[in-house]
Amino acid sequence: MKRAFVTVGTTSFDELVARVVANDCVQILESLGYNHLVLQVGRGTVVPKPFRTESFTLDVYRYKDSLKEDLQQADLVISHAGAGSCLESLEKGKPLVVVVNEKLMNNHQFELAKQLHKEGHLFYCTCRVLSCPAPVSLLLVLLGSAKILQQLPSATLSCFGYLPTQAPVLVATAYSYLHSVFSSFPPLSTFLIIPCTMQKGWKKYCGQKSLNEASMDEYLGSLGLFRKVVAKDASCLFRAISEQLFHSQIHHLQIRRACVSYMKENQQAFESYVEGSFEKYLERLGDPKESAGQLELKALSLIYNRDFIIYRYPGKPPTQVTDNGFEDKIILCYSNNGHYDSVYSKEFQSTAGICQAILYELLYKDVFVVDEETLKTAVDLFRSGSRRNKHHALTASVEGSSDQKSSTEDRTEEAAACSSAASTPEGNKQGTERQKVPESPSKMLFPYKVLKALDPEIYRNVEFDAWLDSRKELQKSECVEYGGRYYFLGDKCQVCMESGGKYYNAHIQEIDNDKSSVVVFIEEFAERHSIPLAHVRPVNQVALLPSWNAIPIRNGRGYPTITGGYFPEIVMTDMNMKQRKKMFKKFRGKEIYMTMAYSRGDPLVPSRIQHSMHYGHDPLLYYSQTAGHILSSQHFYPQHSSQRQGRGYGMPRDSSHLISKQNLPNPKVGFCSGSGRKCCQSYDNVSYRSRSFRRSHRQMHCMNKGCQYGFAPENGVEETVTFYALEEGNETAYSTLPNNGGPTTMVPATSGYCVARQGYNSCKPPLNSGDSNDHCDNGGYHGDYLYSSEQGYETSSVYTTTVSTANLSLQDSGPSSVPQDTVTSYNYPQKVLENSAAIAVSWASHVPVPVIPNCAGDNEALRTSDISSQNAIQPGFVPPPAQGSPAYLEPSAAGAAGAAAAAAAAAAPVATPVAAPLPLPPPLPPPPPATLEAGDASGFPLPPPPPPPPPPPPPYSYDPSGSDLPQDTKVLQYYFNLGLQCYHHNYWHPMVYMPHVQQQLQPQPQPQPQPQPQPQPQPQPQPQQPQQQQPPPQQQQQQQEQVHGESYPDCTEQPLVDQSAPQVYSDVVREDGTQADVSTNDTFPIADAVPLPHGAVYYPVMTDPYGSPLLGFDSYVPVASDYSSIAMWHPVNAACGASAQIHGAMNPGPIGYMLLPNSPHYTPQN
Amino acid sequence: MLSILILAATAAGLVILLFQRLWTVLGPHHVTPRESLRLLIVAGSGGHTTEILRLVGSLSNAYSPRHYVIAESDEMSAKKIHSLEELSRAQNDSTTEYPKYHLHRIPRSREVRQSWLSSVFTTFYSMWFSFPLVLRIKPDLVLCNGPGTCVPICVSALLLGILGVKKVIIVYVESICRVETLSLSGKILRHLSDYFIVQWPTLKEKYPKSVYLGRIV
Repeated sequence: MKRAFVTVGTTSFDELVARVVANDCVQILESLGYNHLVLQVGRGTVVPKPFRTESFTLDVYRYKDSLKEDLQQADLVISHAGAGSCLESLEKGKPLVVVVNEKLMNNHQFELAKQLHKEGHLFYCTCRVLSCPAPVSLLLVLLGSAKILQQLPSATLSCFGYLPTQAPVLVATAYSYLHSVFSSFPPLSTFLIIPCTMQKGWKKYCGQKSLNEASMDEYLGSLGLFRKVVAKDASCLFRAISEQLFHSQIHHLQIRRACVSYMKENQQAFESYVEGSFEKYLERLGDPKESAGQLELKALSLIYNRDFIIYRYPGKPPTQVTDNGFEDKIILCYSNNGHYDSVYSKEFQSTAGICQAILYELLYKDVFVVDEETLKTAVDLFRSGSRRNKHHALTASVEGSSDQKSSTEDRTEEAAACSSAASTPEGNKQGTERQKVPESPSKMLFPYKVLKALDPEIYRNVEFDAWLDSRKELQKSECVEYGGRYYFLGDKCQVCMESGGKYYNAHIQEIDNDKSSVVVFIEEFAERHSIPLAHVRPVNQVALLPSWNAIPIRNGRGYPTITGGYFPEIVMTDMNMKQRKKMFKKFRGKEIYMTMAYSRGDPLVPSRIQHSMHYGHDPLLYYSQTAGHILSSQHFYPQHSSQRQGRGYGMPRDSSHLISKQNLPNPKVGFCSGSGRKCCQSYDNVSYRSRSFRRSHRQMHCMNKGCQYGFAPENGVEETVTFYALEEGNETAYSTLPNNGGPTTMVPATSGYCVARQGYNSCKPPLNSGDSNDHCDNGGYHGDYLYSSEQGYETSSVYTTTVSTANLSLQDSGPSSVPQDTVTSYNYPQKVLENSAAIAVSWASHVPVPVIPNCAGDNEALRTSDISSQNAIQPGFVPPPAQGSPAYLEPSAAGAAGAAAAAAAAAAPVATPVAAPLPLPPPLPPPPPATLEAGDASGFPLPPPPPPPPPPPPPYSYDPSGSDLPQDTKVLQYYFNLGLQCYHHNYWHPMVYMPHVQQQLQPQPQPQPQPQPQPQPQPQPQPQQPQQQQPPPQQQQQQQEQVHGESYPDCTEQPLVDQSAPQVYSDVVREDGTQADVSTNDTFPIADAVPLPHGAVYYPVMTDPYGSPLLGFDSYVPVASDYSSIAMWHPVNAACGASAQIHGAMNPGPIGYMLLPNSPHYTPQN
Repeated sequence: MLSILILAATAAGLVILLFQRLWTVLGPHHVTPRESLRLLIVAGSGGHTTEILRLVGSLSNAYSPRHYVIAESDEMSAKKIHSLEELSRAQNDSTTEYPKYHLHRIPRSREVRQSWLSSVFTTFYSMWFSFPLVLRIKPDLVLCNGPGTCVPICVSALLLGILGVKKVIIVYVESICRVETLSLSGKILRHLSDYFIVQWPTLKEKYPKSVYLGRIV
């Protein structure tokens, strides 16, 4: 007999009463086990009739002298947010859901509700939300959570609250909220805290990490104790104490503060122990980064009236650190490195495991509405699986958190599962895939972490997991920020135990301070090992190679991708610090997404890379047409433009990417084997980092993770897309790099072969060619550029980038066999090393001019007509850039001499795969309009130019750097409200972020500045079409390509700044031409040229469906520019939320966008 | 002409006097210790009543007699007050001297959801009732926490001081439900009260002159 009590206080609150007695709500209440509903309706006009049935009783009254009795009897109180009601209910310790009556003066109830919620006392919502016809009833969520609360026998915890926004987001938000609450809330953690099975897993973890810890665990175990690992940071002592005192670690800051103030007050007692200034000591102690020790223990003992018992050495009895005669003891475990862990009894551990399981079950069942059977089977499977190979499960339990993906995954999956029943399977799939549980990947319905938590026998150390996750994020961002580390935490890599030994898949979990070794989690062993860097290599590299080339040897079908991030590392060893820094900067500044890899083995691709792909700047996008035709073309983005203009890019690419996957039954086949006719378009995007990159840095990372997860499902097991982002701190220095990266595109193979177009940066041409050669498994393909397929994808952007400086002329080699590739690749790194320094410094010096003439000459010889047409076009392009970057325009306009322009134009028409190197002067801001125009222009050549009206701008940001994210502090505040501040920044809930971002973005995109530029280019290009369309024989193309390749070396030397602009355009043109050719030749009727939003970089080849989205992007792009920081997020959203949807749709692009609009619903709560 | 001048001078003098009085009344003053304190409590309605009663519940018997002002037609508050007082009476069984309490009703100065403009008039209307009330009670201290009714009461109490009848200490405790912004009453009475107490640190930051003692209800 459970009672729910609804009170509206003295006044009236008809909406609430009406809502609560509505059928659906009553049903929910019933389903939650409430069979008695008592309404106090005040002066309201809505007075439901009391009734009584067997299963449910409704009582109604207006006023009573005292509500105390009702409150006392109630198991759940739903109240208006008046101060009186809140205070009274909370006084009684009842779970409380308050509904804010927004019609009151200043909406003052909201303040209180928010504040109390913030402090964890209640849930709150508004009538507006309550009455909104959301698919998921808010009330349901609220009640669900209330139920959870009730399960906890804690009187102190009344409720927690969260602020729901919109139905779709709601669940995700709720989840993240609960998640943070779970991991941080005191009462909960009390019950949750102790792992049963976890201990073993933990031991294992420890065993690999340090013998000491393992033996300590064993010793404690023999005493019937259990060591709960606390976050290994400077606050570990306070965390442990907080947990033991308040059953939650979140109070560690307060405890620290209390400790400081206590010591200040009792200075004389502690002063003598401190060397130097006591004030300074206290000041330092107040810093969360300062660790505490004996002295603090003493103070804390006096503050909290507890004595401390500390286990220091395994096998030795504990020492009583403080002896103040208090009855209550706090047991800690101290390890030599100054770290404290909590020690609990094993009973506590097992109890907590069960409680945790209950909690998670409730969460999933009632809040996320996952079928109970599903849960059951998942857990059963999980258990059986873990029994089968124990170490996997166990380790995973400990290590799960360290796995980057897991947390994000969980969220994604859950969101998917909750939002709609249909989506659930997909989400599960996704989760499964990501988890890579070797045994039964397809059977795992839930993320590993969740399963751990769901299994009553396993206690998951949520706090620690969360901390690990957050730390990874932090470290990652730091890496990016300061350079010096090229392997990022969570990255996938391959390691060998001893030199020359077998390589195993692993991901990096920790990086040693001296950077000489990393701690990796090896999947094959499910163990952690510390591996010297020399034994680590990026995913998919041939054992002997240092690795730029990813050779798909592994699965044969996997496309290895090399991330810029990785490459540097190897190189780095040789480089001196200075060089490293430079390199690093470069990377930071620009994100280059080198390759998309389709591989069945996800692990091959560094996780980070995978993440990045989603974001939007994917260099290669594969568009697959349903017919099985895949058009591959490289898009060259002017790198400069990419940042600001580029926002748009990300989305379209992603969408396209997704689409392609969907369409392709065998993605791999389509791309590689070139069965039938397949054209793969790959777009190389070089994204520029927005200025705000640093700012948004972390967020981006988070987002990336989220994205990754989101993608997994789509990719299915087989496909993984990876891209590497090179970020440039120094735009100038690295402009070349991005360009190089761009080149890695696949050429559409109309007749069974794929031509890979490589974008050549002025510097890189040789590299690309070399890569292409390497990649060409199929000797049959003509020219260097033709790639058999898979390897082509791998295009080693890294190489190119690095090599570019070196001016390697590999192109000449023509079709090269794989072995050659390896060799070449090998060489690159070294060169890179040498060059890198030079490159960074001296890009400016390169003279672009010479290159252009060469190219032009070649091209011209081939096609003069095209050139002329293109030349005509160019002027059109030029004008737009004026907005963004005057400098940019100037070069193009001035033409760095008309010859250059002409050459570029000429080059453009040529079908050559060579993507124009788009070295843009970093300082110049990319003019979004210009790019758009370019894109349009490119689109023109395509036979069916169907530029639909620009669709609504996507809600996300396109800028990988997130520069277009809202800078509004309120938004940030909102994030915090979402619970980020738990553990002060330790928790990152990507999902949480997403909705907000979307919200923010959507409104803004509306203004479409770009329409103007577009119209101009269109008319001009049309005339060109006929010419281009004329089917140039493939051979011609090839020749042209080759020519281009040759010319490239020259190009490499071009100065990035001035001439880059012209080149970019030329590239665009070229691509257009190529595409047109391809289409004509190969009979791709389907392929419609859709102008990509990105601008110059885009290929016309896009299919119609895609086109529309792209257009949308165009419109969007300008808007996005304002928010530099947002970009990264957006892709994530798409990946996570919309991925499933996209899957099904034929026209993934548009659909994805359409779906995204959901986000607009979310209103920023603040 | 002369008469007008005189009139103006008189008016100016009055205004100056008024401000001077106001200044002295509001300014720092010596608090004389006294045995008991005549307390006027503005109970308002609904949540305000609940809050203020929680405050009053922790007052000692020195605060006596207690005069409660409630809005007309607010039977809920009246009952609550009765029950509270009876309760304390029951607890202090042994002592015969329990605080006396009186209930006074004045018209609401503002109904819930009443428009601002009309509330100005109703406030004046309720002022018409409240001043005589205050004059009659002559409280030493007015305790209020922000219902609309408290504005006329506090102004009346201030008038007592201005007129030199009695210096009344006005203690305004902002309702706990105001976390970030002040209520309208709070904004008005912030300058007129002697002690302006807020219950959330954010308000203290915004209004440094206020007193923040933590959550006191």
